[in-house]
Amino acid sequence: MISSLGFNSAEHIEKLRQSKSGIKPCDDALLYPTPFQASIIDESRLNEMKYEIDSADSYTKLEQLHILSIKDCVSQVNIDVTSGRTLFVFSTTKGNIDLLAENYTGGINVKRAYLHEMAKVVSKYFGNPVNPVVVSNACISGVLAVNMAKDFIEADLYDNVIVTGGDLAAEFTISGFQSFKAISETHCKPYDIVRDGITIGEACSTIFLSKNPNGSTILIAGGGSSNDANHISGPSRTGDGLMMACEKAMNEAKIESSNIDFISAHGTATVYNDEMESKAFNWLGIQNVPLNSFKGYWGHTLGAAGIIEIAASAHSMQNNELYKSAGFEKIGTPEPLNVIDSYQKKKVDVVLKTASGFGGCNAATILVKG
Amino acid sequence: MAELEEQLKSQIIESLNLEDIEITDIETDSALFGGGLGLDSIDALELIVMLEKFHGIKIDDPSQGKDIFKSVQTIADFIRAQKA
Amino acid sequence: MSETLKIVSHSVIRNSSISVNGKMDFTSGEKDFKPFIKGAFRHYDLKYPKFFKMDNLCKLAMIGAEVVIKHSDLGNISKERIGIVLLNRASSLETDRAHQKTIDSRENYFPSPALFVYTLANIMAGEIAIKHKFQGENMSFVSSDFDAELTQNYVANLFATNKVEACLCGWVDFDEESYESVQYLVGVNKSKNTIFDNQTINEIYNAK
Repeated sequence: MISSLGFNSAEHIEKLRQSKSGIKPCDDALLYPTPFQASIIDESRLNEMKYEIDSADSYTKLEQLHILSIKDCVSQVNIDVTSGRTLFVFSTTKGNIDLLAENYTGGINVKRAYLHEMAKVVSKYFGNPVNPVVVSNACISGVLAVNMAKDFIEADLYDNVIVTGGDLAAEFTISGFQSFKAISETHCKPYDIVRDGITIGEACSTIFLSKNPNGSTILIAGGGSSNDANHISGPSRTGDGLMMACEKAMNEAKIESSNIDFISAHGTATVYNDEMESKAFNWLGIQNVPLNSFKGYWGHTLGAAGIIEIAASAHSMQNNELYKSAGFEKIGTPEPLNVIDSYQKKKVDVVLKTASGFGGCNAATILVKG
Repeated sequence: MAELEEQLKSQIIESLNLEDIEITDIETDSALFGGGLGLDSIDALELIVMLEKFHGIKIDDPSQGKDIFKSVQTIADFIRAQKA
Repeated sequence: MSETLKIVSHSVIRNSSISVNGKMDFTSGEKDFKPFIKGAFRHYDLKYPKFFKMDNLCKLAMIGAEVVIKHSDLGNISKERIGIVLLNRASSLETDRAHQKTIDSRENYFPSPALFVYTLANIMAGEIAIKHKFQGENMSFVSSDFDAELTQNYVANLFATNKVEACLCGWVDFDEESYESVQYLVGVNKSKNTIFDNQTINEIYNAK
């Protein structure tokens, strides 16, 4: 896990336990003409870290983050990344989008703005011979990529899948969300009565999935996705699409709503997204299950969101603890939700992770402790 | 007086990609939203950009748009009030 | 499971022509994409004003999907059980470049929400879903080449795990005025239809 909270999982978990957010005021005219709040990766730390990468300067910032994140992840497991039975899957919405800017001076060929070019460069760094897969499906990319990895392992196409998700807080993205009037004036406040929009974040996170779990006890037990078929930017007003995605994931995992211990929800903190989620979760009868949005810690990290939030949920399960939904004080959704208002120890065996995004898409996955 | 209204109509058609709609199809007093033009929430945001780009007027709170963008007439009135 | 999956119908759009199930369905003298696709829209008499708000990638995807769906008997399959799995090379780069132009200069800085919303590869699936009310599984891949195997592996699994009963699949790419759409609808057990496998998909893609 790499975000404004740190460069590895331990640093993230420590901050989650203390309910410490990485979102800060940002007055960088290169990112947006007026000040705003964002979750930005520490640049000086990245400049130190990048010396762990061979020929670091021949890679873009996002490629460096992917390489560092994958290195950190695979160093903790004993696998052969050069095997033809190991697949790299990339989850990103915009990839190296910073290369398109007129004022870009990094010297990397603009063709790396093609998402598959970025993926090939990174998987080649690790000597992997398989054509990497790129999932680019708006803000549900990460959840979809993990579900796909599970399917491909179960279908015996691969033994190991390295799923890595990353996106930058680029001027491109910030200006676009600003034009949508979707960015919060302050720090995003998922599910809160005064929530007024998202906070953009940048992150990179990697999850390793294997046929031979070797000590890990977290299982991706079921997945599903859906489309609202309603509007390309606004979420469904009823929550029907998200409900269907959750139902498919729960059916595949053979999990009843009463078995779920924790919901790691999408929680962007826009008025309509959080409203939609509250309706879907009430329909499913899981409104009393403890729920959080990690966006209050590292902002909305787009293509990285599903990956870093599943990673954080897996730590929540391993440590049997629940993290506060940062930025939340008073419930402000039309239907009730049990938003986690403080750090607590609790047995966490089954987690529902959800995501929704532009294009009307929704996705869900069920994590089960084995 | 009506010059601004006519100008707004052509800016609306251009900004919102309203193919097959002519200036004469938009009535100055008719509701822009919920009517025959089929406009949605993205169009409302695009109208905010249009006001800034062509008329130099910034709207920070999109909820203000509801009243301003009722009709071509209300947009014109708003622009005149801002510039008065 | 995969041996019972069939390609119910397919469409190919390239070089100012649209073919359906191997037969020419519409062709135009317009070399440029915009007049060509507008001509196709008029030809099929779609009456869908939202079409004109879409970016080029979505217009291409929309027309390609329209003709496939028109030639597919979906019987009584629930629209919640129809998925959309698309793949392309350039993601939304064409519209990304256009959005970037709106922010390159501080003196002329007007990012447009109507443009920005199309800077994602999966919006075309969203547009198709809205038009046809398909609420099933969604997936959007980006790959350097038409990758029949990736789609086949992924979609066969959606059927095997009972998440879809039909799935609109294909390659829809738009980049610097070059465009290509190859879409096909996969369903179960329509005995007269062609089998859904890598070879057949590649044949459809490579057919001139």
